[in-house]
Amino acid sequence: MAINERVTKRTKVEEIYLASEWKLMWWRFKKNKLAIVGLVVLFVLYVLGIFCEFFAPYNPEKIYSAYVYAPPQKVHFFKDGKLTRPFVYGFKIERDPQTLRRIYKEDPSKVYPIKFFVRGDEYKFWGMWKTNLHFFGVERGTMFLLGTDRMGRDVLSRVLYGARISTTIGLVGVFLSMMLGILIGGVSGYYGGWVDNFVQRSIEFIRSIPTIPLWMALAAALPRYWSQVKVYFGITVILSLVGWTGLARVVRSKFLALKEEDYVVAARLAGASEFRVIFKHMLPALTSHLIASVTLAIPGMILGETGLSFLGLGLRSPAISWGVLLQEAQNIRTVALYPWLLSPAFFVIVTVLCFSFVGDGLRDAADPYKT
Amino acid sequence: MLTYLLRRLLFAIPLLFLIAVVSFIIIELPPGDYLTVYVMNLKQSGEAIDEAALQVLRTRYGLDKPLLLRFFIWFRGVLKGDFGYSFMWEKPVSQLIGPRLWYTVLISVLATAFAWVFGFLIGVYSGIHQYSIGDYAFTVLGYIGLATPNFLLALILLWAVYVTFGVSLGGLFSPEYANAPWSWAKFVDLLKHIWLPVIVIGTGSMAGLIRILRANLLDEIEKPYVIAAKARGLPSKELYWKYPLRVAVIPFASTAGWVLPEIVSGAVVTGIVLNLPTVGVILVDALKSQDMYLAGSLVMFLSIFTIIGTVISDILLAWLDPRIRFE
Amino acid sequence: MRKVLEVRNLRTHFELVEGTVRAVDGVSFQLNEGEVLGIVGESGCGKSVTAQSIMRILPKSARIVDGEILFWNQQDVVDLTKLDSEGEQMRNIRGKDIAMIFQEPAACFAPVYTVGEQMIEAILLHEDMSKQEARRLALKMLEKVKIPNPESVLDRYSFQLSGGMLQRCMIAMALSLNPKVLIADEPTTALDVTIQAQIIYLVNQLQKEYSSAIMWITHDMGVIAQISDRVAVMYLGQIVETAPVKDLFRNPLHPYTRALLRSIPRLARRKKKLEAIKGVVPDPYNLPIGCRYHNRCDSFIQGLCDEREPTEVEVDVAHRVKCFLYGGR
Repeated sequence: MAINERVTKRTKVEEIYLASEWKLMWWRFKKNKLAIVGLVVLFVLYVLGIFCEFFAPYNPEKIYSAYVYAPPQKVHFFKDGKLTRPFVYGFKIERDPQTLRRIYKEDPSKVYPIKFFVRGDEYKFWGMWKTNLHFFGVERGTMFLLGTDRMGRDVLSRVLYGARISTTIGLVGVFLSMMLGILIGGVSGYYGGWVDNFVQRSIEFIRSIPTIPLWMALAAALPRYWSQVKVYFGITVILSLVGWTGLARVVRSKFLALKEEDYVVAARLAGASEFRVIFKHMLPALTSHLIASVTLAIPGMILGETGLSFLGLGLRSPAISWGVLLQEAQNIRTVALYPWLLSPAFFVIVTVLCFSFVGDGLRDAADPYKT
Repeated sequence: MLTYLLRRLLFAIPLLFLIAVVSFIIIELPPGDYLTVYVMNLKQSGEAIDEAALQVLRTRYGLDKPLLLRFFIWFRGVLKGDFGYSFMWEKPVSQLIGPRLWYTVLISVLATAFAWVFGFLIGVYSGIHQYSIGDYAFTVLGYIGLATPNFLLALILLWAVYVTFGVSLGGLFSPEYANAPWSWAKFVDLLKHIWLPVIVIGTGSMAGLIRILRANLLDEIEKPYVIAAKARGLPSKELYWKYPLRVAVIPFASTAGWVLPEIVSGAVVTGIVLNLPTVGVILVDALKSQDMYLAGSLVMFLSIFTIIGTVISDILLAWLDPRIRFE
Repeated sequence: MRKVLEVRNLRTHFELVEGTVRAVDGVSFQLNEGEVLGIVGESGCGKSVTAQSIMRILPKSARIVDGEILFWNQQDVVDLTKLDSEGEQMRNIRGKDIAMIFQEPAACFAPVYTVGEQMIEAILLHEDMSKQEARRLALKMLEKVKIPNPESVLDRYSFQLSGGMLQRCMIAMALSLNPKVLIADEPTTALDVTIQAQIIYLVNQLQKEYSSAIMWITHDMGVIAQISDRVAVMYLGQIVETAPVKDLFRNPLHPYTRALLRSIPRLARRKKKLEAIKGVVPDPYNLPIGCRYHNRCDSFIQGLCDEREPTEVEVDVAHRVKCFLYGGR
């Protein structure tokens, strides 16, 4: 038995020696519980965003004029003390005699059971397939789990549609930043000398301009007549105009370090072309660091879009993003009366938190050969 | 040190010029010149157009001249203190931005001080008491602080105060002092209001600074020179303050200079949410109505302010780090 | 010959998440006045941890679990393991009576203070003198270690000086309080070979003048031959052989020592292939049962070496070995 134990121990050690870099990274990453939680939550958020037409119970533009500023309806699981299929109660609407504001109350006589895969508002899935199937909803009455806005539109559906734009704008923006960052940072780190000096000074200059005013000024210059899609890409370009600097710095410092590595020198001495040295020998060595940095750069993009749209300079209604939705919550009196309008804020914070968790986990795992 | 100082100051001059270039680009960015926009707006509202006044403005800013010439006309004006004309307010820009800019600077400086002081104290605490309950609590708060954009934090705090105390904390002054001349009572009133924007704007940067100081301190504590100092017989209390902290504070200081652009950004956005008399509101309005001389000048002044900040922080850094001084 | 330091059955263990590492596991040796004891072994064998245990500057995760470290201070004997590592008594010994020099001189000076500031600090911690006097002493010590232009070196920062210069400064700092014991933890490893020779020559010279006992830790058999009077060979947290330096090179007994000596390249035996010790150092979390070296040993005896641990036997005068080949059952 003792021998068996020793053999298994040995194979375990050997397994570590033989594992690929990515496998080692994954083992390390797995140890970080927060990062795993973050990854799972992000996965869910992206799935919700990608299939938002299906997951949203309503069409985000559908106006329920009878239910303006309706509060969130609670999901109930018990009826008369017995566990039943989850359901919501309908509204009983009264009017405040002084302010004439509507007051919504639960009406126990109206019970609307929540069902999965219900038929509801018709939509074109990804603009291609016409269907009316929704993940969940009610067949009779209404179900506003996060309440409605000033026009009586379902906030939950709008948040889910907003997830599509808000979560992807970070990805697209970071992709552009990464391209610029690798190119400029790589050139700067590989050639060094005055090129490096020039690039570094430029980066310092860009970073010393306050980001939000600059973004605001650039976003304001996007022509009004542009379509939603054009504005979306315009905003990502603006966000990455500043975003690349951080990534370029990472790439540059790694390139400077890698340039001195023996295997890179060896490759160069062996007559490999510069192109080959950079793409075959140097880039793979910094992929892991790059992925970590990119992940950590996404939150800045998401926050940037949210801020710009919140100020009315980014995406504009009828486009739906979390920032656009938060515009409704600009007035503190409105927020005090209808706090559910702040719910997109919760999604923004959770998304950004999860990206930081995952990014930190990746960064710690990025160098698996470091003890 | 003196040569470093001089070099750093000289280096700031081309930066300031570049800022002017960027501001001019921002001014020129929207299609059409401002006068056409102005005339269009006047026509829409049905007001009479004073052709003579238009002509004065046109020649003054050289709007009929080529781009490069326009830049130099504008730049010469900037050097003389003429930053252009706001068509929205129908006033020269220089008359509009004064006090607003100073309030922005005041709030930014206070927020920076807040972020530095608390970032430093908490960072040292977390670094020395790694994995303690306090460290975990600050780490969680730090993550949330980093994840919450300023304007959301402002909204949430405003809302919380409004719901619990029934008061709206927006603005920098109570209504009765807003237009009153300066007095002791007005100053006290300012103090009562200013803490909220300072905390809101400073928190995000503070969270970042805590992380940097903590991580660096933890790195430095394990460095050989700390062990060597200990082996010389230095007591551990002095050891922390004298060696690793002294080194870890260098990256802290270098980042601390670069939080200024971030803080100014925060001051702009938060100013809008909290309804402060800072540049935030007029900047957004100017951009929305394409009142570009005003918008461009505001961006220029905010950038100049952060450049001054980074120069100060670089000098501080050289004072802290002999490696930079002797480069 | 009088003892200044004696380590008895020292065990220093690291408690890590992955398990316990028995970095030093039953080490005993003594250091006599004015002698140079070389401690040699592969990296990770516990040489440095032994030194850190003596200085009581172990990292937080390490603990001395057993053993004594006796230090003869004038007339009294103190057991260093019994002292509070942060207490006044230990602090007074550290740096004054037992000084230490380290492997990477450049990393051992903080970059934000001048070399002089750090030397003066070390002196003032233990001696009651004015700053000027301390500076004069530091200057004198720099002259002793043959630093050209010592006055200007005092006001330089570590990043402005070469590794060899810094190591001289470190030696000057360590000797400035005339310590009874000097622990040198691989002080020449990070230096060029020529500088290495200079430093060894310098230490040899200074040792005659200061008569400190030196514990010289290295993995380099060549350095050991040049500097030490006696040698202790360590393998995986234990001393496997102790001998006067000549005996060890002429008549190595332990299979590990022999293997170490065979792995030194020699000009005279050019034709022969250089030998490496077979196998790898075992996983520190699961040390082998029996003799620690058995899985790499040429003279491995089945059923004995992998079951029981040999005890130390004295084969010759002051020549002790821990191996079943020479008894020790």
